[in-house]
Amino acid sequence: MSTFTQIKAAVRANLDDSGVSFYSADDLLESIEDAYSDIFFQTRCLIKKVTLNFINRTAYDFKLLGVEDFMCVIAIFNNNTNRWLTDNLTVRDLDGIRCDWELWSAQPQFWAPLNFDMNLIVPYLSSPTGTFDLYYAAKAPDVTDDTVTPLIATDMQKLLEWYATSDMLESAEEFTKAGAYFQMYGENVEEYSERVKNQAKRDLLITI
Amino acid sequence: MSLFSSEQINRYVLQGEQLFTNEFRCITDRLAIEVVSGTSLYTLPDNVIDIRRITYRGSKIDPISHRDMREYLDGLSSSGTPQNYIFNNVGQSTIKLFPTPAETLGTIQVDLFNPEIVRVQCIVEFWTVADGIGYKLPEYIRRRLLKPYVLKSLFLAEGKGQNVKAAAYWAKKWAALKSIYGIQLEDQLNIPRRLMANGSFQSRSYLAQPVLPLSMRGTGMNPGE
Repeated sequence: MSTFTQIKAAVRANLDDSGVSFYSADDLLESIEDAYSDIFFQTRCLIKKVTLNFINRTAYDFKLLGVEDFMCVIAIFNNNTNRWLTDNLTVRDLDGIRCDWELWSAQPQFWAPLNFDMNLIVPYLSSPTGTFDLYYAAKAPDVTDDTVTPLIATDMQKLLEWYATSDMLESAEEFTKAGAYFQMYGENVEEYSERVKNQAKRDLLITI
Repeated sequence: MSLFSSEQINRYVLQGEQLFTNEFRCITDRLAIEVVSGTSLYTLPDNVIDIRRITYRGSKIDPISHRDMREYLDGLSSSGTPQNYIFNNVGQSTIKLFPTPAETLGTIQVDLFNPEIVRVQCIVEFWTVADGIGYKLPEYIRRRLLKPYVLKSLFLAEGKGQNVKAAAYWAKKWAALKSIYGIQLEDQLNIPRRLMANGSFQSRSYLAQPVLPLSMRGTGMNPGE
């Protein structure tokens, strides 16, 4: 398990720049933050839970409701009915259920993504009462403390090192070397993404 | 003096963002049309590149091809509540509602997801491209995705900063990231998670139907389309 300090040292060792002579600390931090953000986006490896109140419409902007690090929905649990909202529909499928689903008022049963900001919870409660639990993939937090450990599986923390090394080499126009590191990063981030999605799959309960 | 001006860099940022959002439709918005009784043609703003969905008083109205309109509906002159629309071939950024609306609907351009507003308006949900101001890619991908495009363009530009080898590297990286991020966004925005409910909506909602052999099924569709 590595801290950000150790990862930064590993990048400098890869670059033969341990004396902080060529690559600035700010550039290195920016590369590490880019790597962190990219890993979280590609793998959705940080899933958080928050409890929110229902509102009187179908479209929810979770960032406006205070979930600032929201990236995308993983699942939603309706606390009024003690049931998970059905998550196998697209907007087009909702049209197949009823053509005026935006006006459909009842206890929420389904959710579907609409765009970056908005997600649909259908039907809506015209007089909203009760809450739901939102499970969401979160964006990467800012790297403000080098002594902490990244929120990534221990064996995948090397991804940060490879991405940042590649990024630093690109800034020095060492494209062949940068390409080699980026390829290692790309192959492994894909593997990590698969692993995150498949976690606990053997324990999946098929409900419908 | 720097090799490249901020204006040039910003121009490439916008260019890259527009190329990406045009190729991978991921930015949507809504607008309300001011429906006038007896008028079937309505012009949409230039930023509407495609229509995702139209509702009239909250009910979805369906797209129809120009050919179907011509063959089945054109001889009819009717007015009432619109059931269909055509977006192409009736003029630049113009839609035609059919039947022609028999009532006038006012417009409020705010809070277009509010059921009380949806209920009394004709609302167009559309795809658009980035404009660098209101329509942008989210911050968690924007910088990393656009950096290769900007660098590719800058290294290609004539002048002291030109470096064709660097431009070729960044062009390759732009193509790779565009593909990776495009697939990720498609998965994030258009594909149902299916963690709680497995299988498709259709398979559990309708009675089983005989299926034609693969070669006779016609054009396929990807999940989520």
